[in-house]
Amino acid sequence: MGLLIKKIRVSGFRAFDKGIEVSFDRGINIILGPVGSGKTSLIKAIEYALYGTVIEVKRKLFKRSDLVNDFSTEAQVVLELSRDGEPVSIRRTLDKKGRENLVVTIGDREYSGAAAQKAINGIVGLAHDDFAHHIMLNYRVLQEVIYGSPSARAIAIDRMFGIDLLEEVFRSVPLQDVKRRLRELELERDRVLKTIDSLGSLESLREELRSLETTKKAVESELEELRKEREALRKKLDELRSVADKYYEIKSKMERISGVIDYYRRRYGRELESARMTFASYVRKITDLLVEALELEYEVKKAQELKELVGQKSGEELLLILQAHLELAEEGRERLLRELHEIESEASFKRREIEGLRREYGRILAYVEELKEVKNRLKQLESKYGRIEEVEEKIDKLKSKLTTILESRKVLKCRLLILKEMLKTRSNECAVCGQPVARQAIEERFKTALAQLKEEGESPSDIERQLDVLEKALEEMRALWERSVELEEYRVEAENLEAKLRDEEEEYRELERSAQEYRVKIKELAALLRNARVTLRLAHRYNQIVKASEEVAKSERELEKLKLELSKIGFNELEYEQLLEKEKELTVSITQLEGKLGRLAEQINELTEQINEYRALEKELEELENKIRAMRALYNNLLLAKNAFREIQAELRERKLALMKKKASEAFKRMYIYSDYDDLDIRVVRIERGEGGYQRSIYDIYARRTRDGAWVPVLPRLSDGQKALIALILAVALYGLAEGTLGFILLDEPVPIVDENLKKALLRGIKELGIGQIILATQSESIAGEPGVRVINLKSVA
Amino acid sequence: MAEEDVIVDLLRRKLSKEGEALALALAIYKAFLNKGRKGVKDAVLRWLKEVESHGATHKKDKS
Repeated sequence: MGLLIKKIRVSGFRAFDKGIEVSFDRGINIILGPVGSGKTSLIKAIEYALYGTVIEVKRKLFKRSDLVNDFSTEAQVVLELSRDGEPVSIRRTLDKKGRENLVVTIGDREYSGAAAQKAINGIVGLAHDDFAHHIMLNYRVLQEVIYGSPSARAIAIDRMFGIDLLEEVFRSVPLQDVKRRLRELELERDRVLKTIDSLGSLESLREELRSLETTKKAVESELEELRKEREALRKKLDELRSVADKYYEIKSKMERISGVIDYYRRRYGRELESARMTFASYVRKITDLLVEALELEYEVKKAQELKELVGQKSGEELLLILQAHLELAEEGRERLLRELHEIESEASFKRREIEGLRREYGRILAYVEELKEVKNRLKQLESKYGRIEEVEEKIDKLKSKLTTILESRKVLKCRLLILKEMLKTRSNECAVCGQPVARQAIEERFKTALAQLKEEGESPSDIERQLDVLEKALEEMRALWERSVELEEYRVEAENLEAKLRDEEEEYRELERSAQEYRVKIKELAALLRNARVTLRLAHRYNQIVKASEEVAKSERELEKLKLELSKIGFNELEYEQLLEKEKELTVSITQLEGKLGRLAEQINELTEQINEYRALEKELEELENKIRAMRALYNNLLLAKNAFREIQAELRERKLALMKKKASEAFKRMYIYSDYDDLDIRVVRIERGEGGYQRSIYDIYARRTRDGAWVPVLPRLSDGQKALIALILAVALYGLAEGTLGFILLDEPVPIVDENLKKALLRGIKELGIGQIILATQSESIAGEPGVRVINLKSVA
Repeated sequence: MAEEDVIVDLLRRKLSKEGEALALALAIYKAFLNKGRKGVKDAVLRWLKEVESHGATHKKDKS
């Protein structure tokens, strides 16, 4: 019967904050309870006890610590099982931090830690994923059977058939690697073949090599002959060499000397003969020019010294002396130039001074002119009014006269006033003395006095006018006198300046004369020295020509001597030259033959290399062919081996599928109580793709329609409730085929969407499948009333 | 009979006339059971190298 669940104790796990203990029997155990009563938690507690986790934690839907109830510090699950009568106990505790303690007891053996989990794996014999998909079934898992991908369904069914491993083996053979390598080797072989083709045939290469070696031998023989001939010739030449060397040495000397003579003759021509006289004339000319120049510079002593030295020296030495005196004369000219500059600057200074004096003289002359005008004006006034003393005297006289006139007029006016008053008042008495006066007499007196006042000589106003004129003239004369006294000083100063200006101008003219003399002298000197320089250059040239003429004469003498020596040697130059020419020709021929021999050797080497390469390529080709054969054999054998796994897989699948189909069909007929569909079938479809076998086999599910007997695909045709039922039937049928050691199945509300009658039919159908233990969690109380089931009401247990 | 033995038996039957292929199939199966997919890949690559160097696989490895 395999592994069966006997009892479970749970505390602090998921929905259970308080402890709960549930026992299970063989056959159908129904865990009954409303929503939230802990049905699923109990199923999950069994999963946790077996695998130490639940599938949701593995898929990271929630954390491991979430398994512990919120009001508990730790979760504890104790699962008691029976393995073919042998008791097995699993106890796990888990705290909030995820720390776990595991103890497993199998019979009288106890395990803990990793060994304990290993022991559980040995007992269960099923991977956690397989357990979650095929043992612990709920609505969600069953939905995947129908709505999951064909590939996932195929993987799941293959796994339950135990043939998934063969698929893995099939897929693990890397046939493409072998094929790729085979292709590479074939390409390599093609390349080698192409290279061999490009080299031509081996026989033609060998023939060519033989021909080259024959040619090489012929060339070597010819070369040997030429070398011998050259050796004999060289011996003869060696014998003649000492005489020839001397002959050519003398000849070479003669050629060199002739070359020197020719050079000088070409360069100087007729000048060579007249050079000495011309040189002497130039020396005389330079001497005269330099003597004249030195005398102009007042260097008489130096000029005399030069005259004496010229008579004593000659050639280079003489030219050096002339050069030295030329430089001396140049220095003298420089000195005169400096002196001229000094005089010119002095003259310039003097000129500026004179200009200043002239400006000053001009300014003072304006005062002298003013003095003349003042004196003329004074003279005019004196001629009109007399001298200043006379005018003063006249003014005094006029003033006293005016006083007198004014006094008498004053008396007359008083008298008139008195008389006028007396006339006005008709008085007959004198207003002054009181004596009686006749009216007529008064009138007479008044008239007389009035006539006197009118007839009085000069009037005071005239005198006053005269006085005014004289006083103004006096004032002007006095001012003119004072100004003339002031201006007289300027006149004296102007006289002094005029004298000084005359002196300065005389000095300036003297300086200008002196500067002019210097300029003339310097100009004359410059001409003399320029002439001397030119002549000195010519003298230098003619000195060279003199030397060359001496060299020519010497060389001619030496040439005559060598000619005599050459005639004494007795050497046949023509014969010697012919021998040398012959030796040279032989050397050229030998070199050419050696080159030819080298090229032949290279060609032979190249051909030998080509032949070797040809052989190596042939060997390589042979090796490649062997490899390709072996690789192809390996590929074919691997292909056979690989396909063998697929074929075995197909064979095993057919066997298992036949069983499953039978079980599923029977289960469907038992469980499906309605009449629209009457049978179920599972078909294998091969998806062809790629090389070396088909891609994968998938499983399609069909139901037979009662109305027309047609097999229709379940997914598009049947309702969700029908599909859920078929999924449960397939799952249970697969369970029956599983090779595991488990004797129980856990069903957590697997088909909630089917009606109660169908649920009851399902329960009866499952019972008849012959599964050792079925634990079904549901809230359907109607199926709990079915006969032959043990009901565990979670409400009453709690 | 254990499942592995069943498969070996089936392989022998399938490839009874293909000695070389049978040897390879058995070696592949053994390598897969021992080391999984990597074991098979390593074995095939090793045979490739042997073919490259010797022109054939060693009998020893195929057993």
